[in-house]
Amino acid sequence: MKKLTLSTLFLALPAMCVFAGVRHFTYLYEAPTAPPGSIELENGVTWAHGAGWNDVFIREEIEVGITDRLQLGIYPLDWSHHSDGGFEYNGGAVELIYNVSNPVVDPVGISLYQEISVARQHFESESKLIAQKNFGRWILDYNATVEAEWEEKGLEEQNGELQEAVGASYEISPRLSIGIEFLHEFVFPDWRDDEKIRNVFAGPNISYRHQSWFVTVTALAQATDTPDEADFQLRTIFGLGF
Amino acid sequence: MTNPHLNPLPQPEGEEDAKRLARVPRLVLTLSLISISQLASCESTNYVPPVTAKMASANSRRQDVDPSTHSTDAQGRPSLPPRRANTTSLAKLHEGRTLFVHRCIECHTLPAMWRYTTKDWIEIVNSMSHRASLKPAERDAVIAYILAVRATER
Repeated sequence: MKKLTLSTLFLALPAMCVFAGVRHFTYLYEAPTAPPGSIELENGVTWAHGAGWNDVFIREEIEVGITDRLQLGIYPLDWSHHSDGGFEYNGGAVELIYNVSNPVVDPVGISLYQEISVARQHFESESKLIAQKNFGRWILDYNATVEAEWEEKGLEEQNGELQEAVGASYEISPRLSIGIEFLHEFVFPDWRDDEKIRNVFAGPNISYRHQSWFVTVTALAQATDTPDEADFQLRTIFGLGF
Repeated sequence: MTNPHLNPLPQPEGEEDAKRLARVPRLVLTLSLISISQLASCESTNYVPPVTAKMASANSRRQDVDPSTHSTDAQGRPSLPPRRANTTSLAKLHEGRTLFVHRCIECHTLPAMWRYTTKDWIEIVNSMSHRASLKPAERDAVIAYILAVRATER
């Protein structure tokens, strides 16, 4: 009987679930939040290529619309594969996004973002201010991010990062958009700026949506010359509204 | 003795690169501000006018702004409105506008109100209402707002 109930629930799930929203960017977050009651599965894969190395990062996200302004994201699976070290499980994360204003009718659409990631010997907090403005078929987006991480035994090693990101997307048709993304990072090992690490990445993106799914791809190249950072990154996010 | 004005000392390459890079974010910010000001003044800016009493009463003349009074087809979808007088409440139009600007932009930008016909708008909103998580009454409010704008703003 229990099996029958579960099967019925599983079969009925697609009819109950609705789409949470399309991503026009992969490195930037957008101000609108998912409608209440919506559930979406987002699969993100990033390939990073540096001098003599290749890394792949895989993130699964379950996105849930709580209210008209509040959205919850759960990342149960966060994996990576390093060319010199094989697969690694990087733990899980939880994020909340609260929408303050609308990018169409208000002067600027603002949302506040908070993510907490936890893994073995690793704790990370990521806070974002998301600002967006829609002009006709254009979406202009800005993210300011503060990241703090504690790692190694006893979480003694501390690092910080500030990031600002700008993106523009143009809707060619209701299904297809193209755009650009630009990232500027300030990295502070041990919360010090002795090494003056600055990274700049820029590149194009494309987004396609149809019915209850979407796919967005961004290719970024490093404009700086930081040795440990990827020279080239390709991120794909595939979203499915069940 | 050399004249420093004739032979300026070359700057270290790393320093020049750092200066050049420091200009990149400033350039992006400047270009963004120029683009925003240009876009704000062009015709492509979203047109989502606030609800007015004129919109609520417009249906008594146009008789096509309240989809809750529409007949439905064989699949239960709203079809074109019947020719009878009714009044759309201001509250419903306000709700429709709020839902229109919040739910639709989760997937795409807002099309101009004049891009589609009245019949097309009803079909479009109906076909996307599930994806936008709109309940039937909310769907009707969105359609009522769009049609009220079309009835009064042009």
